[in-house]
Amino acid sequence: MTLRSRFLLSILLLPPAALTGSPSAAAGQPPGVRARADTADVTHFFPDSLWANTVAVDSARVYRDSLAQEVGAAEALATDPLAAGRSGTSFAYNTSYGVAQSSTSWGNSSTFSMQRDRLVVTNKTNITLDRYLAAGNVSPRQQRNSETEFSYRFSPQFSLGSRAKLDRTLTSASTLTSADRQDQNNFAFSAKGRMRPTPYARADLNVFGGYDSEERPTYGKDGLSGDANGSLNLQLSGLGTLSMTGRANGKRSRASLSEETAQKASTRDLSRAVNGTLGVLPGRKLGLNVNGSARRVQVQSPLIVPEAGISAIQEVLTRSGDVGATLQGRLSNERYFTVTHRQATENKGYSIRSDDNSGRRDRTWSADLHEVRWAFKLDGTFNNGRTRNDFSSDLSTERRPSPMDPGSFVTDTFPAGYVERVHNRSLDVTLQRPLGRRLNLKVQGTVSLSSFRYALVTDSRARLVDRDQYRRTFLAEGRFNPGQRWNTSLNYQQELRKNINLPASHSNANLEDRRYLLTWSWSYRISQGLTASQRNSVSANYQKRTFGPDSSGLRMEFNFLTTLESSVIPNRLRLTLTHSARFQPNGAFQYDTFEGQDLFYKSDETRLYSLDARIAYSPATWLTLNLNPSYQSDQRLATQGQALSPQSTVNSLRLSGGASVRRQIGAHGNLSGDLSRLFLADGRTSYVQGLAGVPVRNETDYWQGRLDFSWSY
Amino acid sequence: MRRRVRARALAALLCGLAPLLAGGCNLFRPADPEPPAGGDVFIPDYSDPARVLTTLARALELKSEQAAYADGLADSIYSADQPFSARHDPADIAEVPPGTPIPSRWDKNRERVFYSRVVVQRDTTLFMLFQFTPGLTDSLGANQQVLYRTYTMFVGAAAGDTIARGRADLRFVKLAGQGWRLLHWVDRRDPSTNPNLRTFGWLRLVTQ
Repeated sequence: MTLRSRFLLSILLLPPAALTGSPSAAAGQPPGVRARADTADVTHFFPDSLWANTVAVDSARVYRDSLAQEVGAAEALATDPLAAGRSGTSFAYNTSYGVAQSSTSWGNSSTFSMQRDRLVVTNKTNITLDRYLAAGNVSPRQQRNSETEFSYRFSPQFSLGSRAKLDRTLTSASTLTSADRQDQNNFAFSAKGRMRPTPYARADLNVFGGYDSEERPTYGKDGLSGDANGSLNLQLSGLGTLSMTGRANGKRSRASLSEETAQKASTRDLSRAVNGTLGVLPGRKLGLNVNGSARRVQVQSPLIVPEAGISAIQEVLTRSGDVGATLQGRLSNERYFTVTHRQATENKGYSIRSDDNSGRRDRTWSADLHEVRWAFKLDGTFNNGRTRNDFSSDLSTERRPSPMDPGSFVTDTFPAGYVERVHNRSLDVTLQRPLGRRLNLKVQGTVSLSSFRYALVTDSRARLVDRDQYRRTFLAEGRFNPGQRWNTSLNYQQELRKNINLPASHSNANLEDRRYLLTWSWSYRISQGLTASQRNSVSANYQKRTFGPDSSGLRMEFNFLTTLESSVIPNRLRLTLTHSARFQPNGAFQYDTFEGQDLFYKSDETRLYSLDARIAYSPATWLTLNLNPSYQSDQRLATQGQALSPQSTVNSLRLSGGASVRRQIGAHGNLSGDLSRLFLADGRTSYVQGLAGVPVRNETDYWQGRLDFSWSY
Repeated sequence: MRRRVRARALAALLCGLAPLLAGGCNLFRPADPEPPAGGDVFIPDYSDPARVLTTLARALELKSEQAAYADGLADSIYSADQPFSARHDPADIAEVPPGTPIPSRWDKNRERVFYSRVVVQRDTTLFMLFQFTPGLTDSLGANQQVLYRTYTMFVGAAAGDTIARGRADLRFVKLAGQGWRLLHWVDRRDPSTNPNLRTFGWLRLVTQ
């Protein structure tokens, strides 16, 4: 390192106070930002890397097989021996029982942790017993897993440890005699190191290595695995933060080739991933956050190729990466904006079934704006994203020779593919303005367009057609809130949707939907414990074929919902009554030659009424008894001749009664849950030519709910 | 002074109505379709959950109705709840070929891509049949309904050549004025059927 670069590095790693002259390390940062930094510091990440990790976990896929150790490594970090300082023992136990119409589930879990100065021992055990019931058949499923970790801290910078992880799964279609058993074992040694060359830099390195095995009736795999991961966090003076993490893991195993043979073959898995986040000027009025990741995963696994009558080892190579930048401007709490750009790629290549190769590329721009000025509040969001999905099998993939590799094998399963290009763009703007203290007005408009374009390879079986999906909405709303006793609002929405197939072969099915919705709602507190509210809406949905006959379908809906809420005995007895009435006439506008204009012809109508009561009584603060009767009537009518005649009626009753419990048991226990008995009955009558058939009645009842008990020491 | 305030208020109002104005610019202008040249007309019907299932099955059968299939699934744009998701049977996850990626969430986009891939796997027509699951009663609410169905996916006219069979707990959500959409598909193995038959969920995982 040259003298000049050393000097620049020392300037970057200087504490902010050294540059600003202020004794406060949080100088220039608002209190909230400091609090976030403190919270993040406990978990050994800087604030921006917390966000980056969230994104990374969310976007990452979990691969069956080779990356299980990666997840295990992440879990191991949760009990960091280097952070151990105090002696103590903790134990927590949780049991829960859930029952539903077609399943029951009983779970037991415990967590034990003991720290004695430099020694840390933890154990997590979970046992879940599930039963799925249907048509007299019982399908049991049992899962048991246990993870025990032991570590010893030689110094605050270095520790050694070991871990044993056992998983047992038992699944059966009918009874346990024909069970499918899956056993997984993982035994690993670990070494963890940490460096902190300056108060503003931290580096961690963790190394794991051990033995993995997986056994199933038809498949077995065992071998050695290793994992190395590390992180580097730098606080670059007041300029920003840099956080980087990297991970590499590999596995060398012997795996069964097929169900029929006991023959095994060697497989090698290797994955490498790196993530980085750079936060520039965090907490300032204008800040930039840049993050990126790259990932390369190679998995080898047995594959039976029936077309060739062989068993072979196939390698799947997945390469992915993304980079994103976010520019944030915050002039005040009422004026801020964000501009984000993100690019991501993922390519997946198969060494044998190369027809399954796929690639994906995303490129997205988005912008958000929030502005309050002259009593107007403006919110706007703009998105513009392009995605390219490539299933054309024409991807150049870097192939690593694997054992028993017969070379690329073109199968008959996917003889050809396609390339899809999707372009999504949307704009959403909301404007709000209070008029006085009682009236608030809101206007919102959105427009979005999604374009799907396809390029089919020669002889492709895909039948995808180029198309556009267009949507435009407008909303106007007024809310009047004169006092605490009552309030009302009026809401108008309209929407246009178009499904547009571009080629002539499909454009005759193009549709336009126009929807108009008017809603009026109010709420009035009649007395201290009694509140009435109502929501009335009417909507009309016109559906028209763009190139069809000159007529359009119309689906209308009238909806009236009335609710009475009463607190009969404050904090003890609460009653809620809801009545709903819904009418849905459907039909079409057709040209009437006699009248010389379009007339609406009703084709069918649905009438739905429901009455629902909810009674909750709390004899004690920890116990609530619930009763919920609900009745619903559904009538369907269709036009026959000049009049509507019934097609079917369904009357149903739903009665549920049970209890909710929330109670602390002693100093360390807690019991919570809901349990109820549900009774369902319905009667259905079908009509032929207006004549009622024989009513069909169904009745069923079952328990549903979940109870949890936890105890921690 | 008052004029300036009015001018600014007008400018802010125009910003509020910008999406409507933006509809006129090319970024939000859909392409012009070609005039139709014959062909069958398939009009999707989402007016009740049973018809949504019929529409999904018909879209699979026709193989070229990806839009109708995807439109039958709930979207975050139209529903305040979470958009469409499918959950797989844990036994299927355990039995997919090693190396198969298991997405943390099976969303609408994955289902759309799955449609485009599964329909080209075979030359013959795909049929999907949804039947009541014995012993399970549907939950028919005014705005949400759960249908318990046993499904069979097969090719050809006879049900002998079955590709997938299983059970699904299907939760539908009603959108104001727009009919029903499928919100959740909880996939399960059917214990009463041939254990060698794969489920739709297994098919989803291996056809990514």
